[in-house]
Amino acid sequence: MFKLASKLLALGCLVVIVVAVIVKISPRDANNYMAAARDKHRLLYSIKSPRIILAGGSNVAFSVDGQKIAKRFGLPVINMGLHAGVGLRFMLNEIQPALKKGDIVIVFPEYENFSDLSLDGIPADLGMAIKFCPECASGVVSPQQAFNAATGILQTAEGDLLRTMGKPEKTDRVYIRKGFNEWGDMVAHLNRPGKINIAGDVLSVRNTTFPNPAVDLLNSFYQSANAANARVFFMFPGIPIEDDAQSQKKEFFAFYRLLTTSLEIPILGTPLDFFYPKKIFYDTHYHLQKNERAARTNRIIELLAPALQNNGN
Amino acid sequence: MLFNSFQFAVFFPIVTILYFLLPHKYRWGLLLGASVYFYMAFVPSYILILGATIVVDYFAGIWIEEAPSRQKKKAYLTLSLIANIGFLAFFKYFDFLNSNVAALAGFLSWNYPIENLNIILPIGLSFHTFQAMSYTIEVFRGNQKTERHFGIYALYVLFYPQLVAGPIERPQNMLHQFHEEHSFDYQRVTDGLKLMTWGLFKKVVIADRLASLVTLHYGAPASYTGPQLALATVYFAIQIFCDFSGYSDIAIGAAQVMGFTLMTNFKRPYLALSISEFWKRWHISLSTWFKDYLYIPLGGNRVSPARWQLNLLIVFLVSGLWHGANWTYAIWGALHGTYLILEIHLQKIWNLIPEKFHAVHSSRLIRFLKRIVVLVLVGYAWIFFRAPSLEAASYIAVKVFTGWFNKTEVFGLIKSLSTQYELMITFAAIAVMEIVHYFQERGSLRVALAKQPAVFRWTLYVGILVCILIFGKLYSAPTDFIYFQF
Repeated sequence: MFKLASKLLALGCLVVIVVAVIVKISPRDANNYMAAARDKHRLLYSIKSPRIILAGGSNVAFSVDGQKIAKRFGLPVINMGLHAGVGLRFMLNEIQPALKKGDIVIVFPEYENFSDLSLDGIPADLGMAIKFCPECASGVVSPQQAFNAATGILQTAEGDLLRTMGKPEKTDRVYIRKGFNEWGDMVAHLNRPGKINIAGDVLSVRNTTFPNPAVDLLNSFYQSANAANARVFFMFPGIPIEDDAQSQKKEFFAFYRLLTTSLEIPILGTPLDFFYPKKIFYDTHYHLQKNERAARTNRIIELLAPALQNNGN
Repeated sequence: MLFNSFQFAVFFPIVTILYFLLPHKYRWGLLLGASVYFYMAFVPSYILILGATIVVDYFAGIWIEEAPSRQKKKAYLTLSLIANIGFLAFFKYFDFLNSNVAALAGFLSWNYPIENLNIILPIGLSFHTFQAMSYTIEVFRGNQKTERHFGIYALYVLFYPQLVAGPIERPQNMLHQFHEEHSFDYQRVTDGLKLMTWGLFKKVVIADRLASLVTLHYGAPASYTGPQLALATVYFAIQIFCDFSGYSDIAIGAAQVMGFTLMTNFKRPYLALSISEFWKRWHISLSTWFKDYLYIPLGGNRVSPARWQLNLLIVFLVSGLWHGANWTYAIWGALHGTYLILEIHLQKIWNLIPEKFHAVHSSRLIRFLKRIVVLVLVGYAWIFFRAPSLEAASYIAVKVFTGWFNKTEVFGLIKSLSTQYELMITFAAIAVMEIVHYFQERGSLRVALAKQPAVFRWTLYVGILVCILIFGKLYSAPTDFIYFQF
């Protein structure tokens, strides 16, 4: 049995080495949307504190104007939003070691982080982020995340090999690295017409349960940030809910009430502050178009300004 | 638990290591517990159905053996068969029969109040029911001694490698193996592991890659041309072979690692020179089950020619319905039955060929043409097996004959193949599979490999594993094996 175990181990090592070499030498699509992870990571480690860091998934990337927030508060802003699929644990743990005294973090998790979406990320999305940004691996702290990242890297290796074979790139003018501006905001979609017609209730928080692991994770992040003398605030993402959808509004408000009882991070506003008509979304229920993105940013500024003043700024 | 899941990748080594560490007298308990856990990973409550049939068949076996007269033995066998077929009929066929009766009642304007039960079919029910039935039948026939150890008998039905999709074993082949002590044999274990890896390659690199294309075409057949649907049917023919033979390889390999020998289920079926030969190469454990327990009891071919042909049709109709409670499966079975009947009639003409063109008959060209005919017939029948409904099947079955004279469409289809890079990987994997099968056909692949330098062998092993990891559809939710639904 020892002979078999040693041969299997040797075989496993060889396979890992070969796969690692393939992944390493395969050409990447330098303009891939997820390649922006690297740019954002560089911003995080190059811009000096104090600064405002916006954390979350694509609701932050597509629907918050970091540039405007920077102008209003006179502080550099880094929009770290990329994709909810990388997982809340990654989003928070990537930022946490970079926090310094005076930093202000606003966390905007997607609602799915509290229910359906794994905190450890979706393999393909987390794997892509790590593949394009190996230094972002600091955000990978749990065994499940490591497993997801590894399988995600393997999952996306086929695409790289096909590129080697000459497969042409998909042409997309929005979901590209160049679609982000220097603050990390996605701007490529702003002057384009909406691509979806949202019908029915796209999102529900009815099945979210408390105590909630995402809340535990956020609380833990809050304590680490406090230890680094950074301040953290929590805000809700913008979602499509019509004015007359009373039952949905009640559902989200009930979620908010439960959240206030367990989340240690100060919550700015309520979900109701970020409800928008369905017709103004670009392609998913988190991606706002130009005017509503501006409106959401204004509301964020309105809520953030007194909070910063109360804390001595 | 699926063989292509991460869960199984953890489960299998743990069970195997514990198996070899435990003394022989405790191993049945480990395997039984592991098998129950394996099955309960699907829908836990369905273990109760299995438990009920195990209890019935265990005691039926004892009563059959101890019964003083043949009449009483037959009564106990009937009890066992009713119990097994009863479970199968209730869970698998009730809604099908009820829907048809309701449709008939509606047609005749009768009031029919019974609603469908909409029960989820217990996974692999047809497989373990048939395996359980073969036990009581063989005890009745006197070919198998009753298994008095309840745990061993339960393990015979529940043995996890072949529990949900076969091979459907016979008690004569399996039961004695549970009593024998299997020590760790390096060669046997590595051969088993290689077979499992090979099965996984066929499943995740070939079958699962083709599955999405097949689903696309069969899900909306009206959006595709005749040649496109024909190509999708070819893809399905390859998919189902790789899916099911891949499953069988993993099952046989997993059992082999622990020292058990399961029966061969596939022998390169698409190389068959006739439909009857196809059925000697495809899903062998089911074909022989039907032969032993249905075809021969019906009289086989030792009856009048008309009755013989009727027997063939009955067996294949039942075989079709065994696969699924749907008219599409019945038609698939009936088509194969009809092919066999036609083959009988054409046999005389077929046999004339070697007499008149003796030299030509043995030529590769004739063999090639025969294979093409078999492939076309089998492929055409797959349309009914794969189509989601009778309407879709009928539509595709007609549509595949159209559009072949439209040069733009046909050349467009051929041209599009050369730009589908994902498909090229699948084709390359199929080529690898055929090379391996070629060597397997010519003798033992293990022996052939053993003659090669270690560098070559290790390169091959690493290459296959890397292909599985990079090109295998492993990472989204693992896909069910097609035959699990039966």
